[in-house]
Amino acid sequence: MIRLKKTIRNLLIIAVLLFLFMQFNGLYFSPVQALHASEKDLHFGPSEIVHSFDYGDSRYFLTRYEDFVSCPSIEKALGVFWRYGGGYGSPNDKSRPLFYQEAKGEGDWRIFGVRNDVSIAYLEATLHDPEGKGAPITLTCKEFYDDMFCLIREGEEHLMSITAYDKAGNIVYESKYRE
Amino acid sequence: MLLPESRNFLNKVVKRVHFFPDRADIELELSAHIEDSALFLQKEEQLDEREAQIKAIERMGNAEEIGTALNRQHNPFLGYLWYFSRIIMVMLCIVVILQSIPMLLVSGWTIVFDHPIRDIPKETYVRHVEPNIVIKLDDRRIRITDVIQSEDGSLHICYSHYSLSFSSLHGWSFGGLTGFQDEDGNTYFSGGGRGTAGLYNRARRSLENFPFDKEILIIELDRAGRYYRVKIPLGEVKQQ
Repeated sequence: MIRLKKTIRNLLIIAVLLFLFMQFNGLYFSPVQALHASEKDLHFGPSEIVHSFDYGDSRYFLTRYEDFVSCPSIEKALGVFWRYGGGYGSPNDKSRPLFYQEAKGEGDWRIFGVRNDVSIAYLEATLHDPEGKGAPITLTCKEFYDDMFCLIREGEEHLMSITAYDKAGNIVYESKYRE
Repeated sequence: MLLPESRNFLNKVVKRVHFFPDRADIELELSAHIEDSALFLQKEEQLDEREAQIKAIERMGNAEEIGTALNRQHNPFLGYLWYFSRIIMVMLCIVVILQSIPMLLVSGWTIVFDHPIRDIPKETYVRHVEPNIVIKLDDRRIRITDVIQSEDGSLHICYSHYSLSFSSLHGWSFGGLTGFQDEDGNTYFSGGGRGTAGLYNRARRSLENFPFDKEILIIELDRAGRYYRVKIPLGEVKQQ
């Protein structure tokens, strides 16, 4: 009985300490909790999660909030937790057929955005490594989630150009070429 | 001194106890019983040490039965739960204490010593109001404590802020007050400022060249679904 009481006391103390440990280190049991806590601290959101996917040790979210779009990543930590992260959205410029943003994480590169022109069926992004030594890489994106998209790649590449096509393969949007 | 027979008896008992951290204590307690009983028998029945211990073991009963009963009493599930909960509790306690020390020191320093209002020499004040207005922005509470205009025309907004959620322990730091205008809608951006760190923060935002003839400072934010607007009467300009 004494041991039972001691165990209950220990478990209660562990619960309090675990809560403090998680708060000190920005750890959450779910990636969505971590994302929304982060957004709230930035006085933004909670955004609507349009799509999520895992890449490496992180979960990426395609989100919308009012006219803002974003693609934050929430990193897995200590096996069972998700670390606080994510960021503010970018306002969708609806005057552009394709609105996109480039983002760099730790060792990954991604481009995300939204098609404002629904005739866009797929898009191609041409990337170059930052030093311009390697051959350009073309990534194709055919999947849209509520008109949002995301392309992700491991490495330090940067975007040279992005071209959006309709179903027939006609160019709907072409970004300026960047060296 | 226990005989090999007594040791053998104790081994048989403790083998039945599955929660091994308790085995040593059980062995110690039973050996004390055997020794006490043997001493009693030596005195009462005039037996020698060996005979007394053997008789004491016989009186104890069947080793397997005693072991099984003790195993029930020393429940292995509860035992291991208690055992590991103790280890985890101590480890977590050490980590939390180590992590909280710097944060408590920084917060304590801010509360006691770090007052950005002291950056402005008192003799340069031309007007000073203490609006004591609280802005609620999600879980953050921002209290505008002082608005001071100094003789060089700078308007200093001093405020403190903290978060009601624990996220201030690890979260994004507050970017500071923005959206300053006067009663005629002129906006002010340029200037400097500073803030402190920790759970409780104090900050100063200084706006350059705020006209002495303006009577009201308006601080307004309307972004991403958040809105606040406060009007602060600035009071009379003290004659130099």
